[in-house]
Amino acid sequence: MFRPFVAALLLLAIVAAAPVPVPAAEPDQNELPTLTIGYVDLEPDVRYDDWGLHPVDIRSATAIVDRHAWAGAELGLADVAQLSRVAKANFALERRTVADAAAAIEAIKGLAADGISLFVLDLPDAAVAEVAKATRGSGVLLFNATATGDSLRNDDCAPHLFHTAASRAMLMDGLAQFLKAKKWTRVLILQGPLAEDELTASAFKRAAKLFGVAVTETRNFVLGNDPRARELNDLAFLTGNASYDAVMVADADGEFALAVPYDTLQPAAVVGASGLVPRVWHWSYTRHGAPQVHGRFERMHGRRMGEADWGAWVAMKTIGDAVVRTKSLAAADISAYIRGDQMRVDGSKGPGMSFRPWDNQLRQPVLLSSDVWVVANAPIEGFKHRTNDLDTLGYEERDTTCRF
Amino acid sequence: MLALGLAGPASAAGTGYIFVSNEADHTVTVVDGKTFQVVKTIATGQRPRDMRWVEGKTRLLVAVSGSDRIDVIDVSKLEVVGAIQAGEDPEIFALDPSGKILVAANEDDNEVTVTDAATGERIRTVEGVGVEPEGVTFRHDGKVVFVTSEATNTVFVIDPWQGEIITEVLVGNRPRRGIVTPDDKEYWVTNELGATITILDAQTYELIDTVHFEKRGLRQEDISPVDFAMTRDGKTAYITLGRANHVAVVDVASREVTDYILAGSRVWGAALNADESLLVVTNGASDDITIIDTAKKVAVNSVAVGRTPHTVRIDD
Repeated sequence: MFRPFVAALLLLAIVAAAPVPVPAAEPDQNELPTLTIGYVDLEPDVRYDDWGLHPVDIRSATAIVDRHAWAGAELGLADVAQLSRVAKANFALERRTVADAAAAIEAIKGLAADGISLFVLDLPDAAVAEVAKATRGSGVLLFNATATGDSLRNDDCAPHLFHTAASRAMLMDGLAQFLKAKKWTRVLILQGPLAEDELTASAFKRAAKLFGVAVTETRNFVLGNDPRARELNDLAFLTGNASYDAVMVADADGEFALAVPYDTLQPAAVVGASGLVPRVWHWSYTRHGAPQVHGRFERMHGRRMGEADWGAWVAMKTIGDAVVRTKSLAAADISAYIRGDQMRVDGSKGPGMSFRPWDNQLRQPVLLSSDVWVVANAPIEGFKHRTNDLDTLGYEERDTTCRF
Repeated sequence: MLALGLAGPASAAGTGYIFVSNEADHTVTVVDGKTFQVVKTIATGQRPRDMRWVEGKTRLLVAVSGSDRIDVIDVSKLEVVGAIQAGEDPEIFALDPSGKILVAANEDDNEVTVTDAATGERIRTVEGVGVEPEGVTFRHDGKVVFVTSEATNTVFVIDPWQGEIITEVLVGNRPRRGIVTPDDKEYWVTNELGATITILDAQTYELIDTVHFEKRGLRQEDISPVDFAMTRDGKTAYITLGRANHVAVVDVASREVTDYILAGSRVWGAALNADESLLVVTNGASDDITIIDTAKKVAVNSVAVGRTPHTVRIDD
């Protein structure tokens, strides 16, 4: 897929990064075709700009300033570059950082006109849905690396949209399994004001019902110190006069959640947005080859590898593996392989991972982690599925509303 | 630097000891092969992993990945007496049959290091051997070495004497360790994801066959083959199945799986004793070793060792 440079692209993209080719190990690399993978993200993206930042880190000179998934894609490119000899192809990435979903669609259409058919997306839920709708039937494949929305795996699903990010349902199912296994089955939900918090609380309620955990009460909180609103902002009130073994915090912004552990009125585990957090990846994981991945990432980027990085890295690995196994650079062949029975990608979380044919979601373990340790790896021991235990996490074939 | 002589024939009377490297404890546990009591725990460098005998089993080499070297254990003293170079983060290594060179996989640098076994000095480095190189296996004629690349799903065939990559062959998912049949005809490699073994022609490097593991009651996702032990006559292979907590017994000629033997949690390393009556396996997630009677095909004992036992070698 040799791609002439088109000047018009510069107009479409707000920020256009140079392609990052990586040479193959073989001396005849120049004669190999190059598979260029498109990469689209947003700037600003509330998930990286505001959410999850510690109030100290906002001002800190030592804080991680860039948490975008792009760093993971770069590691993925370095890893798949090593496949050149057997893939008989070189790999490259072409990044477009845009302002909104409409610009993302334009960027993808522009790159597609140049022959790029595979795209890694680091976009929020709504933008992923819009991009998928606008590119349906155009022959491109999209890999959603970071958006967790359950609707993307249900009503907004698309046959050319694959998810390496875990869904909210998968994350909450892992959490509910853990609580059930611990017999911490009375749970108080503290829910923030954002729409995402409502979605997280709903996903947890679904999981609780599924795995036999009781939500004793759901209370709304706001971040603030106003004494007139102490029922909403003071943890003594928010966690008082209720019975619970655990407190589940639904807080996409994340600042309120920081203060909850150790400050509940009753002794209780804090889970969700702080305390024990369900994640697709955590730097503290020491098994299944994860230390090698952490090591490569940290040497490359000088920071720890986050969930977004993992999603983009696995998307790149999935593409690389598909090219090697199919001996094809065609999107249709790659899609058929990824959706097939034989596909297994290694995400250094234990089992080989494959995509669910009913919603194109990557099956994967969920790491239940504190700030410094992976406490448990869901599916939790004892939660069995009739075919694949990973399918105890997230929407099952019988539950999905996805119709390709 | 410690001088190592040629790898001679095995000494007639070994200590009977079982040596186990404990990856998370930075120790090697020595277990009496008759009483199954722990004799000694030897402190090593950081993160000890693969181990190989040299000098007629009078010395045991231990790759200490976290310390970027290979420690030398004196078997009569049961202590570390020296170290040799093997590049950064050596994990699995092998000596050529003549004992002249040592080849180690350097997992983090995507390269293999060739070391002069006599002087312990690095001879050369072969770069670009995929991502996360792991298993290192010499063909018995010593001319080529097979190196698995875990994250690229390939096996590199390398001429270590010239430092050249001869070819790269696509195998199953996450290839871990290899073994070459005694007749030098076949190279077997475990694929950790996908519950299979890929068999290559050890001379032409063509794909010959694939062995699939499946057992009632075992989840396919849990069957994660890692290490081998093979009888000297080349008739029987034992393969550890990781999270499936079983060891598979394979008839090499027919490539049929004849038995599955229950072992410990995340069964990993494997070694046979001299008369091949016992198979000892390490259980990475239960911090112990399982002793298996190969005639009865059943576990007969287990011994607690250190944290995350990696490799086992037997001196008898």
